[in-house]
Parts: sequence; structure tokens; C-alpha cells
Amino acid sequence: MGPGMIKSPALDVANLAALIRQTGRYRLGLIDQRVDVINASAASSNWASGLFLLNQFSRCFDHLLKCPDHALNAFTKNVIVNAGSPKADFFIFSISVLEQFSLQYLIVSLCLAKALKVSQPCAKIVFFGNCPKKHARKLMAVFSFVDAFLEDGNEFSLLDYLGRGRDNSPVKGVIFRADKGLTYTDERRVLGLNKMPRPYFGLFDLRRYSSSGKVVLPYEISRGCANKCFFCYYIHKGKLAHKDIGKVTDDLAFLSKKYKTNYFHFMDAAINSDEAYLNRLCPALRARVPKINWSALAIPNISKRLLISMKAGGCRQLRWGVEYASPKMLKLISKKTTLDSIIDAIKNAHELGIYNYVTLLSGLKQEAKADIDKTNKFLARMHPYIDSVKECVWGELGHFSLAYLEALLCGRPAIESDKKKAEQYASILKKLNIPSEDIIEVLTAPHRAAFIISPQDSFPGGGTVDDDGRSLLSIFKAISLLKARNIAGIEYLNFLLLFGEHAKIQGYFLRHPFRTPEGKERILVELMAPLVKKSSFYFFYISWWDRNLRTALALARYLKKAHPSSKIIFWGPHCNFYSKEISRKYAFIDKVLRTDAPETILELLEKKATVPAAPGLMDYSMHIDFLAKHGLTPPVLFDYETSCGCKHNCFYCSSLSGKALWFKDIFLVSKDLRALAKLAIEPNVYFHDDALNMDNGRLGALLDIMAGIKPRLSWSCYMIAKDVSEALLKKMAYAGCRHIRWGIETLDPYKQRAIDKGLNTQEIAKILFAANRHGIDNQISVIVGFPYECSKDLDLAIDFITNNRKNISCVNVYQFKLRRNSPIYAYPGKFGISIDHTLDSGSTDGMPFSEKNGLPWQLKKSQQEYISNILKLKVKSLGLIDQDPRIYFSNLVRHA
Amino acid sequence: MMSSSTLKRIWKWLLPYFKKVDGPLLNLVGGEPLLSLSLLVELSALLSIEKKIRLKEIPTNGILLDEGILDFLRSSGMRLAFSLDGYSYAANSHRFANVNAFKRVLSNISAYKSMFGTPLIKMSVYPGKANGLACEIERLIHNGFTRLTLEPVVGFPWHKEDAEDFYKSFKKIIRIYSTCLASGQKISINPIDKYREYIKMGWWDKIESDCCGLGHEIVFSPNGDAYACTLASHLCNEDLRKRFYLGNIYKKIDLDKMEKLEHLHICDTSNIECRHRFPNITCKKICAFFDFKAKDLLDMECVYNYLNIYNFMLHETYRTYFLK
Repeated sequence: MGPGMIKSPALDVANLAALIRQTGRYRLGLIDQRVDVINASAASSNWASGLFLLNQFSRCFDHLLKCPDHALNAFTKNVIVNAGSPKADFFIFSISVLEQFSLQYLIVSLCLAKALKVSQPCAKIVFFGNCPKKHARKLMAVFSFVDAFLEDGNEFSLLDYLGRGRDNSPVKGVIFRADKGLTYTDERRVLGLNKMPRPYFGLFDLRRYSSSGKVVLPYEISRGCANKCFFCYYIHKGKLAHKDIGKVTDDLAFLSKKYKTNYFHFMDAAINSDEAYLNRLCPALRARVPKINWSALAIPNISKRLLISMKAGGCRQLRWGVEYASPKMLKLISKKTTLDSIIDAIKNAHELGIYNYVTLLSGLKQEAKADIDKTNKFLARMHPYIDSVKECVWGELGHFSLAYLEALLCGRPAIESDKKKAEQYASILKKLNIPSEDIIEVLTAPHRAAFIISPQDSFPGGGTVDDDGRSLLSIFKAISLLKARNIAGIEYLNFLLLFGEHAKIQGYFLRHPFRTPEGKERILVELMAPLVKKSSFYFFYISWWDRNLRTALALARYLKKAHPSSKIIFWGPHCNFYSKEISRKYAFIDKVLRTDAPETILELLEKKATVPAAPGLMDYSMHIDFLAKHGLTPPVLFDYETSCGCKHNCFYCSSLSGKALWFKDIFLVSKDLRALAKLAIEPNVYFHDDALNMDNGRLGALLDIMAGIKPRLSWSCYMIAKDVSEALLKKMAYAGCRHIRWGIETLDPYKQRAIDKGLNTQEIAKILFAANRHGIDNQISVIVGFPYECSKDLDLAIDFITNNRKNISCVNVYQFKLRRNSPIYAYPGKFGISIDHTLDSGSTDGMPFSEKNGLPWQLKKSQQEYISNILKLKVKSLGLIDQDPRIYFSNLVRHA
Repeated sequence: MMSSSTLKRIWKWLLPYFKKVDGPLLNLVGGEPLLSLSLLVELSALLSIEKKIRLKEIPTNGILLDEGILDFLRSSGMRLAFSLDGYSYAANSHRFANVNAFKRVLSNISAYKSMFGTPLIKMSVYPGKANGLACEIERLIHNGFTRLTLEPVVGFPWHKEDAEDFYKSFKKIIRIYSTCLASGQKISINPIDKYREYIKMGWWDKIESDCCGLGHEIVFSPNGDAYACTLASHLCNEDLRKRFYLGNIYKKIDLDKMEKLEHLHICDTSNIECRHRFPNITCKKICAFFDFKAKDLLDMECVYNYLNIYNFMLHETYRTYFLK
């Protein structure tokens, strides 16, 4: 029996078990007391009462060497009885704590071993672990009931001992008791890591080691340590051996499959002891075991490049042996780290989404108050980047010198330097709200993610809930992906909808107009905050043109203050362009995403690079549940997309949906649409694809699917008014198309040729006519205010709308905005304009620009507004409406 | 000269349209309107019934002004705008046979001023005379003529150096204007005044319509012919004149044709390269192509210069008062 150090099954036991099992000559059993303590089971209550006894070292040694202690006897008897009074030829005790030889574990093991020896004198008591030779020999000399002690930390040595039979010849790496007394040799055994079988965890009840539903298995890639820290008793310090990379990946793949886990903790003294090796290992991990997540110990002197490779290889957490943030102590410890290297390592890891678990040392005799102060300052400075801190007080891990051991054995008072000291960092950790969790707890912590849509800044005024479909689509694409990956703990809060329909809240705000926006935001936060549970991540969706940015910031600021360890993430179309400005201005925001891709969200939660996967099924159930829970109106529309991106590269377009065009698997689309059809009696779908007719062949197949769905969907889509035959439109109408949004943009032939879509006024007119003939509402959009536009463009637009009035239901007049990420923004000179960055406020949708041989920006802006007003008035005079497309479609289906 | 019957017929035809329009405006152009005093008296009687219709200041060179006319003006409420291209005879030598005639005009204007206040002075700017413009304006202001309008003449060749002279003069004029305003002096120089007000109010449509009435104005010649443009009636080129001819008051007038000319673009009818897009003050100025003296079309360079001058006045005003 024997424990590991952290909340995962003991690797040393698993290694030894694998080796012994390989021989086929032994029946193995495991008495795992530690898992009881971890799980606070009934059996552990016995331990609880015994622990205070076991921490009285002198009393224990008196019990072991002098006079049996009644209480200790009773305790050990209880333990053995609770373990089923096992019978064995060999009782093997593991007495290590990570790589340290632990006094506490030694004492417990000695007490139990003595009791076992008394009851089964023929059984062999064997101790193993990373015990220094001198300690082992001393213990063997003193404790006669211990039959063998592993001296070289090499499991093969122990195997040899177990298989020696009656042969009393010395066994390399083991000191044992033979007829003539203690037998040992100083001959060394070569460590053959590559010959080690895969660790065998079959003896453990792994279910009892699970943390947040996950089991983390320990594994070692190397053994030894390149450093020789003076306070460390690791028997392999100063030497280092690695397993072959192929073996490592094979082992991990096997263990992952056999024990059904993707979580590993590498027990190596420092994963980055050999950077060249690690540089080869990480790509191999990514290629062979792409799904694993791992944690490891690391020396905080590491390049960002290597960290990137590690993250790509599955690294989720690193335990940094920081020890002190005092240059004097760092030099003394001589781990080749400096304060700068520590800071860089932690910051870079944080930036890459790797958890930072920091260990600090205290209680060394060379330590001064100034060293503690410096470390405190370090914590205060670095706490935004640190996820957990563990203070290892000297003596806590059971470090003990030979001199201390001898003092204990002789009953002398403990050497001052070996006595356990008080904790130094508890108060600052509490003040900074830095947790001190177990490594496994951090690695396996379930991540709650809350997706929040805050109300618009102009609440209770502003747009209606109907025009915000893109936010729902993006959010539910992300949520669907997370749910498909079995990520639990997802919350969805749509305050835009909730407050939008809450008459009392609206009424209150209307009756009490606020003098300042801050006053209103404060009240809104007070209303929202109680509904928001603690989460690891808060995702705030900022819609187009930052309509809800202020309210989102107000709530985010509040949540960060309330839950400092939670991550505040801003995302959405506005963030795609203004991520830098938002990040710089608001320090409480942890990250601003520059993409809506759901994989990015998944990466943040899983803390590892995600291989881009084809999108899966859409799951709107959380949205439906939210609406039902709050008594809100069931959705009129469902937002969906069958493709993302666009094959065109129109000069004004900012490619919000992505430059590359991809199509969702049509089988999945079919499943999604059938599922959506079941959600409502009259299901209505608003397609967000840039254009449903990017591929007419695929569109045809899609229409066949939709025509077969019962109940029949009513739907709206964007289309490009080019190469659209009447037959296609007829088929669309039959399949349920009620409304098409056409991006006409301009009616000037010269500008039409400049736009990649290649539209043609005559063709557009024909298509509108045909669509209208088949009962489809046509909504067209026109952009005014292009560079070098003149009144002729306006006249052309007016003529077109007037002449095609009967085939048009709705006209949207938009002003040209020079958006970031558009070709014209990238190459303004090519379009005869210059961008005036000094006038860019950094938060509006559109950059100011001047025409080089034309209008300066202020006049251009006036022109845009003027033309827009004229056109809008004309549209109105023709009896046409200018309405947001989604609102138009909502009204269309509501009144159907 | 227009006959009384023609005037009455025109009036009768116009009335229903005047009633539909906001702020209908009547403008008398010449020749010399004061030569038709009897018509003015008739018109005054008609206007006294239809008070909504506003009559712009009647343009005159001022030589015919006498006490009788002054009395008439007082009783009718009509007012005059004096065509004067500066305070010196040199600036007006093309208007008046001799300096005595010019002095008489100044005296008449003075009499008008004492009765009706500061008169409107309409300054036509000719190519070749633009370089002295600012000086003349200063002199006019100094002599109490503080209501001025500037109008670069159409139908004359504006060469590059003439245009450059105009730009320089106009910049000086803006400075003079700003100085007067800053000192609290009441002054009005159009189009600067007008542009400032309209730009401030965002009345871009008014800027456009004030600069060229094509599409929403109708002009009647003495014989009752109707044209869409004042200048068109003076065109010698029959084809061009027909483009703007709308009919005759005694027959039929095609208002649809008039309205369609609202959307005339000179770039459609020529290979001119569009340079001025907003506000749209010269897009319809087909008159920029005509050389009235030579009865021919002007060189493209002269056309561009003329159009540039108009746009320059607006953009310079915008730049001075609205661009930060």
C-alpha cells in the first residue's frame, strides 16, 4: 500500500504493479488508504483521528523503537482490519511524495508495517520510493521489521529482489535483510526507462479518483532532474533520462483508451529540462494523441515559442517551481531562473491560455523577511496571470535530513532548521483571491460558461429584439459545439429579450429618464446581476455597431469585481474590428475575440488548440428553455446558416462572415431544419448565409430537402441577383421561400462592374419580376455615398426603384461605410481616397475618408446623409418601407 | 416688350402652380425692366391680390430712376437691385457710355438708398476684370453699399489666368467679409452669406436649386415663349434652344419637359469629366458651354474654369467656416 502526492492514483505503485504483473508470477493486491482520505469516506474518519497521533514524530518513534503506544496500536489495528486484514508474502510500502522522500509517509508506513509483521511474521516488508541511500540504510539498521528497502529508485531493482528466492547475493539498488544481516551493494543499475512497461492502474478504483467527472492519470516522460537544488532530496537529481518519444505517445494512446481518459499529469521533475526533446515531443503528442490534456511541472525559464508548441500538444496547465521572487534566493537555489524569466513564462503561458499553477517555497534557513516581501510584491503584480498558488513550507512535504532522522531516532530535540515553519503567503493569497487548489482540481475544474446578451445602450429605446438574429446564431453555434463536446455548465442569459418584453422594467425606465448613462447602467446592472451565476467564463456578445457595448461593459465590470478569477471575454462583430481598442481601454476584460468562430470559444474552455471541426447540429433548446422560463414570447424566427463566408471579394465588404466560403454538410442541414420544424407549429427560418445561391447546384439540393419537411418551413434568405432563373425561383417558392433580400448596392453600371458580384440592372429587374410573380417578397438594399458618387447615381437608383416598384416590397438605404477589413480599407489609394485615422473615434462602424480629387470627409459625410435622405423620402413617397430585413420577415410571417 | 395681354395670360396660367408651391418667387429679367413701367404697375396690382407670391428685387442699371419711379416703388412695395460692377467708372465702363452717366446712376442709387435703405448691388464679374474685384468691393462697402451679390458671367471665355485671378480675389473678399462681420458691421455678400446659412442648416437642396433653376423654373419671353432656362432664350443655336423650349403661353406649355430637365447632367451630353459632385451646383449648367459673343461653344478648358469658379466659391466658403 502507499499513497501518491496529488489527487490521482500513485504512479510509483502503478509502475511497480505493471512490472511485477509482467512476470506473471505474482497475484497482486492494493490497499489504497489514500483514496478514502481524498473522498472523505467513513474509513477516513479513522485516519482523521489517527493523524494527530502520527504527526507526533517522537511519540511514533518511541512506539516503534521503545514501548508500544496503546493508541497507535489501536489505530494501526483498525486500519488493517478496515483493509480486510490482508494476507500476503510481500507487503510493499510506497513512501514518496512526488519526488521527495516523506517523513510523514515513512512514519505511517513503519507503524503499519510493524503491526503487519507482528501478525504475519513470515511476510516480507518492503519499502520503496525515492529514498536516499543513506536514509535507507539507516532505517534498515534501526527497524528490524523492515526486510528490504529500495535504494536507487529503480523498480527493476525491486523486481530482482522479489524474484531472488533464497539467493542472498546482493541485489543492485536494494538493501535487504538476509541471514547474515543487511545485504547491499554499491554497484549501480542502469535506469532503463524505455524498458518500463506501461503503468498499470487496474488495481485502483479510478472512479474514486475522479475530480469533476474526470480522472487524471499520472505518467512520467523522464526521470531525474537537471538541477541540484540544495533543499531537495530527490535521489535522481543531477541526472536525467527520457523515454523515447514513440514509447511516450504509444503509452499515452494506450492509457487513454484503456482507462477512458484524456487527462494526464506528467510527473517529471521539470518537463522542460530538455527543450530539444520537448520540441520534438509536442508535435508528436499533437499528431498521435490530439485529444489529451496534460499538466506538468516546469521550470519558469522557457521561450514563448516552446509554450506555443506545448499548448498545441495538449498542455493545459503548468506547475511552475517559482520558489521565491527574490533574486538572492533564486541565485541560491540555482535553478537557472531569474525574476524576468519567471514573469515572462507566466505571462506568456497565461496569454496562451495555459493555467499557471505556482509553487512557492518558504521556511528555508537562508530566507530573510525581504525575500518574503519581494515574493509578496511579485504575487500582487502577477496575480491576474496566476490561477493557483501552493506554498510549500519547509518540512511540509516531509523533507528531512539524515541528521534530523538520527535526532528523532535518538530522541533528541529536532534540529531547528528541520522544524516545520509557519506559512508566509496565506494572507496575501487571501487578499488577492488567489486559490490554493490541488493541481488536479485546477486541471479538471469544470468550467462554467455564461453567454450574455446585454440590453441595448439606448434601452428602453433602440431597436427591437427582432433585428438581432445574428447574435443568436453565433451564440447558439458556440453553445451547440460545446454541448456536442460534452461540456456542461453552460448558461445563457438574453437580457435584450428579457427586458425587451418586461413591461414593468420598460415602464420604470421610461418614467425615470436618467441624466447620465452611468445612472441607467447602474440600475440595469442591479437588475441583471442577481440572475448571473458564478462562472469561469463570461462571454459578452457585442452586436453590430456596438449597440450594447456600454451595458455589457457595466455588467462585465461588476462581475469581474465580484468574481476576480472569472474570465471576461468580449466577442461579436464589433469586437472583430475593434479588439485592440477595447482591450486597451478596459483592463477588466480578459480577452477580446477577433472571430465569431465557435472553435475559439471551445479552445478557451478546453484550454487547448482545437482542430477545426466541421460544424455539428444546431441546438436551440437553451434558447427555448430560457424564453419559457421567463414567460417570454416563443421565437417567431429561428436563425440559421447553411454556409459561412462568401466567394466574392467586393471592395466595400468587411467579410464579417469570413473570407473563405464553407458549406455545412447538407445531411446535417437537413437534420437541423427538420429539428427546427418541430420547434414550432409554423416554423420560420431566417437564413444568415451571405447568399444562398453561392452554388446553385447545392441550392437545388437544399430546396429538395426543404420541400420535403413537414410542417413546411417559411424562410427568408439573402441572394445575389445574378444567374437566378425563374425556374429556380419557382422551386424556392415551392420550398417555402417567402422573402428574399437582394444586395443590389448600386445601379450605376460603372460601379456595378467594380463590384465583384458583377450585377447588371436589367438582369436584376428581370429577377425581381420573376420572384414577385411567384409570391416572393423582394427586399432590396442600396448603398449610397460610395467614393466619387454623384447625383447621377441617385437618379439611377430612383429610376430603378420607381420603374420596378411593383416587384419590390421593401427598400433598405444604407450609407457606404469604409470598414476595417475591407479591400478598400486595405488599398485606399487604389480607390482614390485617403483614410483620416485622426478622425477615427475607434468605436463606430466606418472610418472617415476623403476623396483625393473630390470631397473632404466632412463634406462627404454630408453628401452621404443628403443622398440617403433624398432616396429614403423617395422610397417612402412610392409607398415602400425601409425596414430591417429580419423585422420585415418577422412581420411578414406574423401576419401571414 | 411684353404686352399687357400676354402678362395677364401668363399670370392666369401661373397662378394655379404658384398656389401649389411653397414660397413662389417671381423674377423680372431684362433688358431693362424699368422701361416697362406700365407693365410693372399692372403686375403690382396683380401681386397685391396674391400676397403669397414674392417678387424678387427688379434688376436695373439705375439710369432711369426718377422721382416718379421712386414714388411708384414706395406705393407698390417693389424694390430694385442695381447692376454695378464696382464703385469706379473703370469697373463699369462697359455699362455706361460716359462717366457722367455713371455719376448719375450713383446719385440715383443714393436717392433710392435714402428712401428704402441699403440697396442690393448685383456685381457681374467678367473675365479679365476679376483681379480688381476685391478692391471694388472694398470701395463699395466703404461707401455704404453693404448688400452685394457676385456673379461670374456666363457665356464668356474664362481662361486659366482669369480663373486664377478670380480665386485670389474671392479669397480676399472672404477675408474682407469676415473682418466686417467680426467688427460688428452689418454686411451681406452673396453667395457667401447664402452658403453659410444653407450649409449651417444642412439645406443642400436649396444650395443646388439656387445655383441653377433648371427643372423647377420657367421663363417667359415678351412674346409668350416659355423656356426652362433664362439664358436659353438668348441662344442662337436653334437646336440647343429647342432643348429648353417649353412652348408658348398662347398654345401649350410642356411642364413635364421642364421637370425632366431637373435630371440633366452635363456629363451625359458632353465628354466632360465630372469633378464636382457635392453639392450639385454645376451639374446642370449647360450654359457653361456657350460663348454668347462668338455664338459658338467654348473650349473645354474654359468650360472647366467656369464650373470650377462656381464650385470654388462654395468650397472656399465651406473650408473657411466649416472645416476644422
